[in-house]
Amino acid sequence: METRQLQVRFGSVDMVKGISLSIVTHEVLAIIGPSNSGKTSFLRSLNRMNEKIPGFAMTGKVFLDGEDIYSPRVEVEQLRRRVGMVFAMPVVLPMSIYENVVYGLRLKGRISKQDLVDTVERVLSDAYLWEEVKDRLHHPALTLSGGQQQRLCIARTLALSPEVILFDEPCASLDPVATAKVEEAIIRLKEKYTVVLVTNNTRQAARVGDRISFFLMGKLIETGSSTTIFTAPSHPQTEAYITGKFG
Amino acid sequence: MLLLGVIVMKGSREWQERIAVLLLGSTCCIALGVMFFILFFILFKGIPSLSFAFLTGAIEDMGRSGGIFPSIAGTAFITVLAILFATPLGVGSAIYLTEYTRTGPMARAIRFGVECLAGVPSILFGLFGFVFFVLFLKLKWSILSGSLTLALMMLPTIIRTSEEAIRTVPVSYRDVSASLGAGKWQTVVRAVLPSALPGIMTGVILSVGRCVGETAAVIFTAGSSILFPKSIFTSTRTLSVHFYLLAREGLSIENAYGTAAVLIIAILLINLAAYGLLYRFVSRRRL
Repeated sequence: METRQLQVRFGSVDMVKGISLSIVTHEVLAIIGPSNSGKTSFLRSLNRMNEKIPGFAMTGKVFLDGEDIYSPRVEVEQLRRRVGMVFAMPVVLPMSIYENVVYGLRLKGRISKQDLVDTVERVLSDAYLWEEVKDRLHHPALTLSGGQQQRLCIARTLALSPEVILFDEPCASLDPVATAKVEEAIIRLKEKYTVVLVTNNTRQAARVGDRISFFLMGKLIETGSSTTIFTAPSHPQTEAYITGKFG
Repeated sequence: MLLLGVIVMKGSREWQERIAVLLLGSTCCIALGVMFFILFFILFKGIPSLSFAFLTGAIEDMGRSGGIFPSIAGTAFITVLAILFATPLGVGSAIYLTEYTRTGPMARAIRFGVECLAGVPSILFGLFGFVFFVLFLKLKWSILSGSLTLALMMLPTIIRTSEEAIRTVPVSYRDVSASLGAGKWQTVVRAVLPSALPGIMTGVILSVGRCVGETAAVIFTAGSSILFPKSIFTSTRTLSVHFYLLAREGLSIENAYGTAAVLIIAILLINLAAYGLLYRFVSRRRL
């Protein structure tokens, strides 16, 4: 997946000011930066979730497997199945755990019951949730704890077998133990998926990310491997941010 | 009361609290007291005339004797039909207004119109129903004309409450649904409506109450036949019309109270049943 000179504006505010970034298959790319640096706006343009917001305008291109995802030929629902998203707040829909997982699959069309059941077990296992919920799949999802709900959200996204999964500060509302479990899940996901993780937590980026991109004021300051960024960043602003001098 | 109010504004904080509690408590007592008084008064007067024969018998001698079964049936038919007409229309417009139109002058104008409609006195709906359904469409005095008129009357309430209910569904549900590849319609049907259903149902139940108790609009459009309604094209007299005629013509005060008691008990039962169903639906989805 790749962006070229991506600019995003809402009304008269430029959120993303010309970012070109390529995301390597089966890596975890962590995007760090202070708030209002355009991380989330950037992320949401990768699966066209910004379009719903009034006043949204963009220039530049976003490619998925060489195809411009904003071209009129691309069906947005189809795209969002290929590029899944996990939001900052765990939002489970008010239905059973099982129904939450198969929500996206049911939208695609008829699927045999057995396929659904198999998928539920597979993706819940991938999201490290299966053991905790296997005996109560048909209980309301709102009975789960915050951390479990977020892993359910991950499983729900996995059920569609996306190529890329976008995480928008997935641990923002979780305690450290729940955070650790979600991170564990993310690390394992890169075997099968490509992951882009927006986080406010630089240490989380270091724990989970293969490569790190540092955003500031809507611009990409630098991208590098996790070790490079955290030991020898080439830009003084990056160093100032990761050592906690601002942000 | 006014004096106490002044004390609340001026006195020490502790006294303010005490008097505020007293004031608010007594307003609540008065309001509820009046309501319960009316309720028990009617039940007290009405229940003695209730009997199996009264509930299942035909209306005889213009209501002086016999039962009220034709009226019970007529009320049920009219109400059910009115709900069947009004709910899809009302919920549909609410969905359109909330999900498919941006908030602009147009949507605001429609909303204003709906609110005005909600304030129109029922007798005007009755008059319109009489001129349009009964005379112009030649539906005559019939259950059909009555229920169509009532449906029009219920519409504003259903639209308003459904809109409210749909609006309170978190935006995040829509985002999540969209991020899982749902189109707009799929999102509405699978994520928004199930969550809005309790609120929508409340609106419908409120209108049913209004419908069952409506007199002016129905007497103009469904007539006041005392016979058991054979089809939706025949005239009927609903419970409230029957009650009105019994009391106004001084035919039988006992039977009027009996009819009123049946009306109140029916509304009570409808509400209980509806909220019971709702509770079961909600508790399956939530904690």
